Amino acid sequence: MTKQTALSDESANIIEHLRAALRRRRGALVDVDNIDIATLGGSNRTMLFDLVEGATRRRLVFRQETYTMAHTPFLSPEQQWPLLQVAFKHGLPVPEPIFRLEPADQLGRGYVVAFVAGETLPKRLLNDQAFAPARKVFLQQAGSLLARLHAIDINEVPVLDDVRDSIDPLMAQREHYAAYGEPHPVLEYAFRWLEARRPKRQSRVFLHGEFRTGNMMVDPELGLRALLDWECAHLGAPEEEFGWFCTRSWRFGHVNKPAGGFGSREELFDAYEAAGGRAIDRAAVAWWEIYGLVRWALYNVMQIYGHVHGGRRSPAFAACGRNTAFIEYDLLMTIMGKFS
Amino acid sequence: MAHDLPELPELINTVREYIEAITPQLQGLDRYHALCSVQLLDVVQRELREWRPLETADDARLRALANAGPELPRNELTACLSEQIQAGHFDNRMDELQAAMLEHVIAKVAVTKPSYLAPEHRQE
Repeated sequence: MTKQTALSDESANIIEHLRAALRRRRGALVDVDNIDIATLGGSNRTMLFDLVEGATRRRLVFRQETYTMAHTPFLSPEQQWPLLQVAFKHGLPVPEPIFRLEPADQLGRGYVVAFVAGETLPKRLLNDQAFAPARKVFLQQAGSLLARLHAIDINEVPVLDDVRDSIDPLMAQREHYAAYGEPHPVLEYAFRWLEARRPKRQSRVFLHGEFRTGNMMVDPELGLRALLDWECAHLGAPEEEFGWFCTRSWRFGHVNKPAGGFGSREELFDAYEAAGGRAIDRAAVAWWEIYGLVRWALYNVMQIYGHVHGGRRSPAFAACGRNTAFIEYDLLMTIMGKFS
Repeated sequence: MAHDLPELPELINTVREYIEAITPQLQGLDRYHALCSVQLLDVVQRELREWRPLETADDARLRALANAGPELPRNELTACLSEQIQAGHFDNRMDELQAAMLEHVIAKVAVTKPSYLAPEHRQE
């Protein structure tokens, strides 16, 4: 995250438009103040600001799509918006949706949501002494949150019906892989392995799709405060959500704590089932963890594809290309039963 | 032909030293990208130093697996093998494929991030 002290012309222009967008909705007397520009990832601009209305101030977050890659696996801001609304309506911990950008705003695609204080950085959540109280309650909260999310009637989120991952997630990964055009024999091997062992198809639930350490806002004392990053939401088996959370890449050094570096899988499953979630098929979760490593490897292949072909360049994207090798290593070692 | 000094590893090292020297003055994303750049230069150094024997062995391994002769260019080898795997040619010998893939990946990780390998897979 980078914080810029002097605003560039581009930022100043965006803030002008944002001020106009807010005035159009809230009246001519509102203003924007206390702006922090946080650049996260390569395809979104994130800006924090105070909405000033008379004597009151409210911290909000402006999130704008700056780049759309070809063959993207991510939902557009327009697709994410109704999901945020549904999750918020059901009382799930998500940033309150404030408004979605419209063409008249001249700000492209994006939205404004409420600011939620906390920390997302996995290394701090998992290692800092200050977060010890949060670590004690995290899996309990996560299991309960997922039980509530998965209980939402999927008819409330029709926008997810046509998402490729809702129809056939393994085929969706194959399609992304084919689109990037970089042959990876190890991923081919993993695809065959996965295809031969697909878990039995279950009735589908509303999945966050990116539920992993790093995508939640966590308070040191109170634990999980908000679930962020809804661009991978789709319909599928609950086991897929757990498999992604437990994928080895999200343990951040705590490899013996498969549940996101926080604890055991069973702690998470127990919390889910106790909160009314359906019985989790443990063998299916293991399959989804392998799938998760393939998916994470392909995200990295996607970044180097964007770096080479998409005109979106950075040393970090270049590094992603080479990082694929050690994800493949985790993948094989996990399939072989050497890693668990 | 022989170039003048510095030799290639020294050239890379010079750039690396410079980036390392300015990194403390950088913040946020710039700092992160500087750290990534150093990491990439380390990959280049290892690839220059260690890749030739690994590549030779990896090339032979993949070629044998794909039943490909020396006429198949190196840059088409992984594509050829990938197509065969996808077409199911190895479905009856997945264990053999798995063992070869592990060796292939170990060779790649040995260049990209050798510290990531389990002790039994380290080269020294």
